[in-house]
Amino acid sequence: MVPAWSFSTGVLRGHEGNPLVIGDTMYVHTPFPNIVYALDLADEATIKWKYEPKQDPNVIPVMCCDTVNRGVAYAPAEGDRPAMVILDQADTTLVALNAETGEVVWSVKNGDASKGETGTMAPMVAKDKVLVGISGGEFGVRGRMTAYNLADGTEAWKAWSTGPDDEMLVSPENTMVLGKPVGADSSLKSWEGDQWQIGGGTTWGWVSYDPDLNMVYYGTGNPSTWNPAQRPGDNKWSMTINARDLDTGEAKWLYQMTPHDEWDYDGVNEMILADVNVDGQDHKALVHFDRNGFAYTMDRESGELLVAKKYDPAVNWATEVVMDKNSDQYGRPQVVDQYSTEHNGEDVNTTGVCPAALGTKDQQPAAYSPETKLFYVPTNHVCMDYEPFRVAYTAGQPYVGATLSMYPAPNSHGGMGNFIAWDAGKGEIVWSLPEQFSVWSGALATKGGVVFYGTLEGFLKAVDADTGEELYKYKTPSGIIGNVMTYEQDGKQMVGILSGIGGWAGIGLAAGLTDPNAGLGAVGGYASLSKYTALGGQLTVFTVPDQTAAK
Amino acid sequence: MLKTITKAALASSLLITLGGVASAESLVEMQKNASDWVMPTGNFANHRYSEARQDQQGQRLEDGAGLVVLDRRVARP
Repeated sequence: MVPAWSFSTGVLRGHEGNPLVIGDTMYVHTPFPNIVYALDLADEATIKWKYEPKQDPNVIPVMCCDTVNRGVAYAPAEGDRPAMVILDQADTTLVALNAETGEVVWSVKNGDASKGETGTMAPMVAKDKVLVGISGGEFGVRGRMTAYNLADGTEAWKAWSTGPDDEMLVSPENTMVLGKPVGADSSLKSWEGDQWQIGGGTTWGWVSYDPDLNMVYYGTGNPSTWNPAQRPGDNKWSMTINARDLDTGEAKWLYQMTPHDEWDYDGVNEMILADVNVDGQDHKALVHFDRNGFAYTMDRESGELLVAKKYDPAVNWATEVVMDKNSDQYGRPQVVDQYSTEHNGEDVNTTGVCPAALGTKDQQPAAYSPETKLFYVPTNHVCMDYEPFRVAYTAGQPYVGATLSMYPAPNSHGGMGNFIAWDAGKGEIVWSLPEQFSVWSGALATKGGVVFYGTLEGFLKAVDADTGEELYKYKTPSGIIGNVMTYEQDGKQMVGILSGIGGWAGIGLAAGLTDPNAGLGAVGGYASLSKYTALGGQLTVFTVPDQTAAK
Repeated sequence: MLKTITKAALASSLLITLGGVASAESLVEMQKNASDWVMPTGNFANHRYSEARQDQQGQRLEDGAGLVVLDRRVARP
């Protein structure tokens, strides 16, 4: 394996997400200012077109964790409408570009940056709709998922994460929670007063879709503020796996993983849909590696909880998730007082909480191989001190209410990450590779038995899918927080990865921060990254040079 | 070059046969094509997995059919 070609994006901030390839065209996106390049793979990756929106730079300070963007979505042509590439800009403009020319087909405003609402996620196209969420859980934004019609960008439905049932598209009778109807006013009853209106539950992660069930799946983020004393109750439906009908948005089932969050364990990570055998029974499952350190295997049709196990032994804020259906604690994590920022109270520094706020895993997506039946998971191995304090809400201003510091998990290998293979039927780690820093890169699995991921130092690594044995590594120009992708070009398999240090873990370098508590507590823990890498913005594409090598 | 032609031919045949139906159907088919990477999540199920041992028609390629795939043997430098 060798590097084949590379491309500089011209932007020096954190590069999350990955390019798309459709036919002979590759679509590469960048962080703010959210440039999109269409590269002609049939002509040495020359630039077919470039889209660069004009955005108010005042959106930059209201992006909590670097000016990232997680990629564009592709919508095939239909009738008179051309094929489109859809981008969720930082300023919440959702724009559909003609895939051939880069011209704007339609554009719609999905939020209000003056209130701290921003766009970072990759939209998801399914059937005649495109789904997009909202970022801003650190600014008291009220989260929602919105579906727009591909035809013209008009709104098809909007499902708020908090508030009245009709606004959440939740049916008291038909929406299920762990096998039972949710009942009326499930969100309103779980907040004090009107806190739900600034209560977070933002939706900036990944969306999955089951075409057979016609259901979409996504998670909601932290309740606002980070000071739990200011929002008594379970704070529904923050921290929740949502299963909804694609056509109507109606919630089929909900499951709240972290009721009344006290640590910022957003529930937005990807929902991987796979057939999983649990205790001898096959399930159409949903597998989710949550920020809170538990990996959940659920029946994606019914919302039944099948497995909930820690995927990092360092996780200490809860002892377990109760699996006894007859218990009044069924499905709830059992919180340890010592690590409860609610129990210890405001203005008290709760120390040694594992994982840190950025979770055992953040948005960096895991991969699944139907060959090995294993999940390949990039993880953080980081703990924290967390001191909540009282904070007042002002629109467009940070609404955090906690001071954090982060450090490698104590009494372990000293590093801040692991790359693991996970058995979602048993809830067990199969193998684990220690990493010096958090693995903030999305994984790729291939039928060839090779699994890929990137590291914050900038290495692209290839490992054996069965054993984790390292097969190849290459140091790219900057730290990797992007996701590995693959495609074919001229009959050869290519592997592409974006470099560009940043994101929450790399915010110190990306934004030039030095206060250890800055970057929501991440700057101190990752300070030594500056020994290994510097700012960058580059796509590197790898291949196998000699065709005969495969035989 | 042959591959490029095959790819283009496939793309246009998809447009012809599926151009009139909703996007999901064509994306459902397109996500199976290991030559492309059509959505941020790899496929609708978020697998981020590539069946790179198949050609565009979904046929398993015989060894030596010309398509190079990264496997354990060739990933090594």
